[in-house]
Parts: sequence; C-alpha cells; structure tokens
Amino acid sequence: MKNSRWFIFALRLIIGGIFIYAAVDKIIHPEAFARIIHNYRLLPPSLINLLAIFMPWIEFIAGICLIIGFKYKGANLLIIGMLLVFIAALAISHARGININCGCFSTASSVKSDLLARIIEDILMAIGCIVIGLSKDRHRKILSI
Amino acid sequence: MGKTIKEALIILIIAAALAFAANYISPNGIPSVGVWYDNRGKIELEKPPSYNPKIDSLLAMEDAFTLWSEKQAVFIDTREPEEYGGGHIPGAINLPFEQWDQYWDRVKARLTPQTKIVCYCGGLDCELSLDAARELKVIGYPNAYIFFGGIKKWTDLKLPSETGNEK
Repeated sequence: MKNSRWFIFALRLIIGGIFIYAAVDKIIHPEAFARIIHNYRLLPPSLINLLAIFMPWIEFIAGICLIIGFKYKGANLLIIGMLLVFIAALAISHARGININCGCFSTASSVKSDLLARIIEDILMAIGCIVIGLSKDRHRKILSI
Repeated sequence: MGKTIKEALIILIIAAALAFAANYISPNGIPSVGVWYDNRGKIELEKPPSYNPKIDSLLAMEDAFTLWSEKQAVFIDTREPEEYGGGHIPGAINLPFEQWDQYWDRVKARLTPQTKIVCYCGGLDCELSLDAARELKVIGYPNAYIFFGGIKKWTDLKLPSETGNEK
C-alpha cells in the first residue's frame, strides 16, 4: 500500500501521544497514583511506591521514542507489554467487581472509570502496536533521530 | 528480536534513571516504600454485636485507611489512656468513653459539626467505639463513623502505630 508508511507513522503518533499524555499526570502526582495502584489490590505493599515512581516514566519515555523513531521497536515492545499488564489488571478488577479509578489518564480520585471501555481501548492500541512491530522500517524516516 | 529486546532494556534503564532522579528532586516525590497494608486477600468487615445499620455508620478497613492516609478524618481512640499510650493509630486523639466528661472539652476543640470522625477501640471484643460514635451523633456530629476492626486489625495488617499519651 502506497500510503502505508504514513499510516504506520500516524499509528506511532497516536499511540505515543496517548502514552505521553497518560504519563504526565502520574509523574506530577506519584502519591495519588500509588493510591490507585493500591486500590487494584494486586501488589504487595513493598512494590506499590516503586511502581508508582517507575511506571509513568516508562510510559513517557517509550511514548517519546515511539514518536521520534529512536529505538522505536524497543519502545513498541515495551508499550505492548504495558498494555497487556493494563488489560490484565483491568479485566481482573472488572471480574472482581471493584469500583475503581483505573488511573489510566488521571489520578483524580473523583474519576470513576468505565473499565470495559478502557479494556477495549487498550486492546485496540495493542493491535496498533503489533501492526507497527510487523511493519517495514520505511515509516521511520518520516521523523527520526 | 534480540535487537528489539536490547532497545527495550535501554529505554527501561533511561526511564529508571529519570524516574528516580525526578522523584528525588520533585516536591511531590514519595519514598520508595510507602505506608500500605496488604489488601490482596479478602478482608472481612467486622460488625459489632450490637450493630444497628439504621443508626451506626460502619467503616470497612479500606475506607478507614483512606480517611487516615488522606487525613480526611479525625480518629478518636475510645480506650483507656493506658491502652492508648501503649499504641494507637498515628494522629488519633484519646477520648476514653468511660471518662468522657474529663476529656470531652479537649476533643471538642478539634472538631466542627462537619468533621468526619472515626471512632475505634480494641477491635472485636470492644464496643466503646460504637457507643462513642452514637453519642457523637446525638450531640451534633453526624459524620461519626465506627472502625470496628480497631487497633487490632490495624496492627495485624502491619500499619504503623504511635505510642505515648497526649500532654
């Protein structure tokens, strides 16, 4: 397909942009994000703050790398990994019937999330990432360092 | 694939370095291990034997913990001063139910009619928290809750406690 390299580039831009956007609020408010992680009831107490400190920065850096084309295949792999973790955590919470703020885009405690909608979004992004991962490298030249 | 994994590892290392540096510098930074309790298993909601859903507002562990960690409520320890001094929820004030009149004025100074109040005592075999919350509601503090798990549940879950009495 003639336009495929632009299509792949658009995918990188959208998914990378979403990850950057999602990371910023968590980076600014690590304590609120730690509380959200605790509310998932999935992790031992000792890991909660570490994840709250570390994970938003993986989202942020991987998002930037995906967009600018710097080690974007690695970034793409990390994003797929994170999406799978998010999908699993959201699905478990949905199955348990826990009413939580998913912490996807905001750390504000007033935000309650529609978990199923978030799961579908994450699955769509994961499919996008797989397409990026399987594509030839030509789109990389559109914007890369 | 090997190259992709190597790239991913490089990004992880960069992210880790930036994350810990930013957390160290940021005024919003948090300690690498926080004060949390292990909530992975099912935690029972204990009910006092004389619990009456029409008049008593009972708090589950997670709600008591949230109110405490977000400092949204005043915690009142309704046990005797010696028990309070031996270990209480950090920040809680002592209002021994059996010596109400002696302690009330001091406690009252910390409350407004809107204050969320969490009463607790020893847990399981103690109903002083229930009695105190009922009394508080009667005298004009509608947001008086009972955390019946009390100090026992709190310390069982390895949450921090504080010793010593108020001056």
